[in-house]
This record gives sequence, C-alpha cells and structure tokens, in this order.
Amino acid sequence: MRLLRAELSKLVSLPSVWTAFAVGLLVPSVIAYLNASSMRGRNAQAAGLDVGFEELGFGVIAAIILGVVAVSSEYATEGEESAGGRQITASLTAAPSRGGFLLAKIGAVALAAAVMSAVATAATLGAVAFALADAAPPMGEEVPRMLGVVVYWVLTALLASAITLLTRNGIVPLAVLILNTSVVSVTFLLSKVTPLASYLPDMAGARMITSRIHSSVEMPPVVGGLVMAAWVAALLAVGAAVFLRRDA
Amino acid sequence: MRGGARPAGEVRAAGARRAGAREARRALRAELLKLLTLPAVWLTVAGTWAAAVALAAAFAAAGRRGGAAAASALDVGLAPVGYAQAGFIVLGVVAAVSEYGGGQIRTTLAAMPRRAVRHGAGIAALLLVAVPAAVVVCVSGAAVAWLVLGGAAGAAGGGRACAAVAGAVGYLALTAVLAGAVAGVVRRAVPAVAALLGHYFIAGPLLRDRAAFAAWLPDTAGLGMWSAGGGGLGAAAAWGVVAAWSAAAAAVSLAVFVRREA
Amino acid sequence: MIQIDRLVKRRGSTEILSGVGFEARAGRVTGFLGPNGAGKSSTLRILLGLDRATSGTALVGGVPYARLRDPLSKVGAVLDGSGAHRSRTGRAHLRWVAASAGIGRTRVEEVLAQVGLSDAAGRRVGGYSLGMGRRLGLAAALLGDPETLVLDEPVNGLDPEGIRWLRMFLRGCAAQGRAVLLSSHLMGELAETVDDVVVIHRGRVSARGTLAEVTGGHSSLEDAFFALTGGGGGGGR
Repeated sequence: MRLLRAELSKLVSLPSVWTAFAVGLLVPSVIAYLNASSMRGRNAQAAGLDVGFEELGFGVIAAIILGVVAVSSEYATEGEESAGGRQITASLTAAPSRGGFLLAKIGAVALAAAVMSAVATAATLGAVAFALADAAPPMGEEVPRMLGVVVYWVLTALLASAITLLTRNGIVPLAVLILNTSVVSVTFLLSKVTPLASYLPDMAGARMITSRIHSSVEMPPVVGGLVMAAWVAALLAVGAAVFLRRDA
Repeated sequence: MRGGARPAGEVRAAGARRAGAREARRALRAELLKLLTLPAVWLTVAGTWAAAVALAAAFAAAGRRGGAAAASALDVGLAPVGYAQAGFIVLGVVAAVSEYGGGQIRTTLAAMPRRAVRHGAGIAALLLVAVPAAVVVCVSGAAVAWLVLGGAAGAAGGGRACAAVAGAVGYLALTAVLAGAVAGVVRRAVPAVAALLGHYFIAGPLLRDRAAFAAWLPDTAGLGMWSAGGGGLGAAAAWGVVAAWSAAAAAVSLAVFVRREA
Repeated sequence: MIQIDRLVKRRGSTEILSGVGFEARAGRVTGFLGPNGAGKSSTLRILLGLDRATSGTALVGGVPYARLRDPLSKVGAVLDGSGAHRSRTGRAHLRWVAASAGIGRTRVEEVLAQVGLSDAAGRRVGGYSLGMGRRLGLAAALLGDPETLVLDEPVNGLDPEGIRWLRMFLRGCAAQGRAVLLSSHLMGELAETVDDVVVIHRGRVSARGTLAEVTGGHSSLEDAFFALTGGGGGGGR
C-alpha cells in the first residue's frame, strides 16, 4: 500500500502525465462532438452508436503516454545535472524489493489509466449525447462497451509500461504504439497480409470497443479482451524478468 | 564612402567574412561529427529504413494479391513514407535533445559561443544526415515494391518518378528539421516525441477530413509533396507550405535558443 | 586575463549577484571562494556567456566571451559534470569539440594522454566514473591550449591522487604564464594552490587580494573564510 501510494504520487507529480490526461480528455470529446454535430438529423440513431467510441479508441494515446512516462521517467538522464542522476537509483533504495516496486508501479499505472479512461469516456459520450440531443442513442445498453474502453486503456497503458521496461527509453515504445494508433494502423495493414495479425494486442483489444473491424477473423469482444490481456501479461512477465535481473 | 578609408575597410571586411566563413565551416563539421557519433542517430536511421522496406514489401504483396495491377511500383514504394516520417521525427528530436544530455550544451556554447552560427550549423548538419537517409529510404522502398510487383507494376514516367522521390525526400528532411526545432524548444525527448507523433499520426489525420484549415498543416500539406493521393495542394504549393512551417519552427527555436540561459 | 566589473544578476525579485568585481591575472592562480549558493557558478556562467548579466561586464582579454574569435584558444572552461553526452565515447566527444575550433586529431590524443584517459577514450562517457568525467571535461578545456583556464569546483569527484595531480597541473599552467581561475567551497584543497583569493558571500565580494593579504590575521585560509562569510564551523563567530 505504501509503495503504491509512493508510485501514485510520482505519477501525479509528472507534468507529462497531466498533459496526457488533458489530451486523452480533449481529443476524443472534441472530435466526437464535431462528428456528432455534423451528423445531426442524418441517420444519427444508427451512426451514433459508434460515434464517441471510435474517438475513444484514438484517445488511448493518453494511456500510451502514461504507461511510457511512468517507466521512462525512472531512467531519464536529460536533466540539467548529469552524473547518474537517474531516479531509478533512489526508487530502488527506497523500495529495496524490486518485485514490490514493480507491482506498485503496475498498480499505479493501471489505476491512473482507469481513472483517465472513465473520465474521458464520460466526457466523450456526454459530448455526443449533447450534440445529438434527442437523437442520441440510449446509453443504457452501451455499458459493456464503456467497460471495454476502460479495459482497453488500462491494458494499453500496461503494454506501454512493459515495453518501456524492456527498452528503458521512452522513444521506441512511444513511436511504435502511437504509430499503431494512427488512423490506418500498421497492424491493420498486416491483417490484410495475414489473418494472424488479428490476434495482435491492439487488433484484438479493439473488439471491446467497436464492431466495425474489417477482418476475416470473427472474435467476440470478451475473447478480444482476453487475447489482449494475455499479450500484456506475457510482455509484463518478460519485462519484469529482465528488470529483476538487470543492474539498475 | 570616403576614398581613403575604403581599401582598409574592405580588407577588414573581407577578413571578417573569411573568418566568419571559416567559423561556420568548423561549426558545421563539429555538428556533423556530433550527429555521426551518436548511436541513437544510426539506430533511428537503420530502424526507419528496415521498417520502410518491410512495409513496402507488405504493401506490394497486398497490392499484388488484391489484383491492383495498375498500382505503380512508385506509388506503392512511397506509401511507407507515411510511416517512415515517424523515424525522421525521432531523428530530429534525438539530434536536438542530445545537446541537453550530460550538460553537453555548456561544452557546445563554450566552443561555439555565437549561438546563431551554432544553431544554423546544427540545422544544416541535420539536413546533411536526413537527406541521404531519406534518399535511401525512398529509393529502396520503391525498388522493393518494384521487385515484389514485378511485371504487374504499372509504369511511372521517369520525370514523375524523380519528382515524387524528390518530394518524399524533401518532405522527410523538412519534417526532421521541424521536429528538431520543436524538440530544441522542449529540450526533452519523450514529451517532444509524444506531441509530434500525436499530431502527425492522430490529430492530423483526424482533422484532415473534418476541418478545412487542416490542408495548411504541415502533415496534410506535405501529402502534396509525395503522396499519389495528394493533400489538396499542388506540389509546388505543398513544398512551399511545408518549407514555411519548417523555416518558421527553426526561426522560433533559434530565437528561443539565443535568448535562453543555457 | 579575466576582468569582472560590477556584475549584477537578478532572477525575478532575487538578486543573485550584487556588483561582483575582481580580476584573474596571467601567471597566477586565482581562487574564487564562497559557500554554496554564494554566486560563484552564476559569475562563471556569465563569464562564459551561458547566462546574461542584468548589468556589469565580464571580459576575457578585454572582450565578452560571446565575441571571442577562436574561443577555445583563449579560454578553457570546466563546469560541473563531463559536459559530454553519455552515449558518445570520450574520444568522439573531444573530436567534435576539436572540429569546432579547427584543431586536429593528434591534439585530441595529446590531451587524452595529458589527463590520463587514453585507455578509456574508446568507452562511452555514460560508463565513466565521476572523476573520469571531470578529467574528460578538463581534456576538452585543454584542447585549444588556452591562455586562460576557468574551473568550477574542479576537485569535486576527484580522488586524493587526482586532486594532487590537478594542483600540480594548475601550478604548472600558471608558471607558463596562463591565468587560472578556479572556484571552490572547499578551503583546505585550495590553500596550497592559489596565489590570489576572491571571497564571495551572498552575491558580494567580501574580500580579495593575495593569499597572504586575505589570510592575514587569521590562522589559516579556512578560518579567514569562515570569518569573511559568517559561516558556522570554525572560529568565525
């Protein structure tokens, strides 16, 4: 508990985390609002179901930044002062058990991502409902998909942390993951070459949010979530194994 | 313009010009050496090249299977530029941010105290690395697509091919300069990369279809330089818009660099 | 020769330097002493053109640093840390610094040997110890065979042998007619090295003169220092 609180306070004191939060809140809600307003009157009932959720799929960039920064800030060396001023040294002397430190870090990232995604989901769907007014689809039956957004963000943040744990440098995971969140993602292109690509974490996880995936592989949302969770668990296990063995 | 003062003044001015040119030459050499001895620069370029070649092969394979025989090897080969730009963004960021690791900026300013000269040399050195890297990325992408598509490839005229490759190379190099300028102001790699990639890969494409002003943003305008689909602007206008963005970013970063206490 | 005259530096509402003035003359080692936060580093950073003064001047050979032609042949500066990027090798770092001044590669090997880093020159700076980083910083400062040396807290991170070596090295530099300015908050290390002393306290020069003049009346430089800076410790209060 004490370690978790320490990790949470580290996250909360990082400006990048707050910037990520703002991005994750504003990007999906503003763009969803613009989209919803432009389709008012037209067949909103049918289209409205996906408006908001698709944008939340892009808002996951906030979770990516959170997951990367939570780990990369431990290894940053860009500060004014040189001479091995990496925070990881202080962190590991404060929490000598590396396993405990890592668990606390993972817990803090997951918690922060869950909060971020819940707020972003509420804001985005609220903006859609506001823009569509009476034509807004009933939100009651969307609860499973809202949960899907939260799970997708949390798993993506943990995926980002796991990769950063391996690279100890934020740039590579940021580049790979943000590229792959783009409108035409690399994994989506890959899925056109091989159906196996549908089982990559982001392709599988996206089933929790949207049904509009053009792929030859059928996968119910829960299975998609489980496939993504398996990826994240495996990568975290590798990241943890490397972290526990490596000299800080 | 008094007769007697002219020769001496001219000699002095010529001497100062020569000294200035020598200083600029040396600064460029130093900045180039810095980039070439930074492992992250090589890793970024190599990674970008490998990813671009793999993507070109995948695009071509998908294109051949899809029976899009008309797709020219050139268009398919340049398609990965949309992703390779991430590598050039990272290249610009890595080059700019490396100054702020280990207090190197103090060594830089002690060795090259005229900040405008050193900043210009930094941008020129970045271009000297980015342009050849972009040529390799674009040409090998097109070559791989041509090999994979084989006879199925539609032919592209030599002139158009040169213009498209030049546009792609110019776009990638100018994007690296823009990224370096942004990172020089931010001075930290992770926030700079997150902001730039977030714009180029998420905000930019989302805005593209929804807002008219997006046509003037560097990513969408840049499409006119290299993409077969274009970005709504003609090639010349696209060059102008992207170059203007890069120049403006470089000017802002220079102003910040000159004023800032290192 | 370094001339600092009525240097004032304000950051927001706090005045970090309030009219600092002194000289560091050729052929002498000048010690710039003061407790942490007294304004030593601020003064040196302004001298090297890293920060801007609110008013006053800091000149090297009569010229502000930023207007020097061939700065590396005029001033060699060692501020804290190595001043090198951690993923470059020591040799690669010195080579780009040399290139910026049109200095050849043989000189790089010379200074590497001079500071005892020849064997470590092919390794990345990130793997250097604190002392090796300082030696690399010194090597970069020596590249241009400068007329003046400026060192900020040079003994930090050096082992006793390194300190002894540095002391003799700086005496040698002064004997060759160079001006050496070094800052420190450690008195004991300095007493045997410096000719002139400038004591700074809360942004003001509280004493300056030869070692004998400043020490005069006190049993040691250390006692004089505490008396002049009102520090706790010794016999000051």
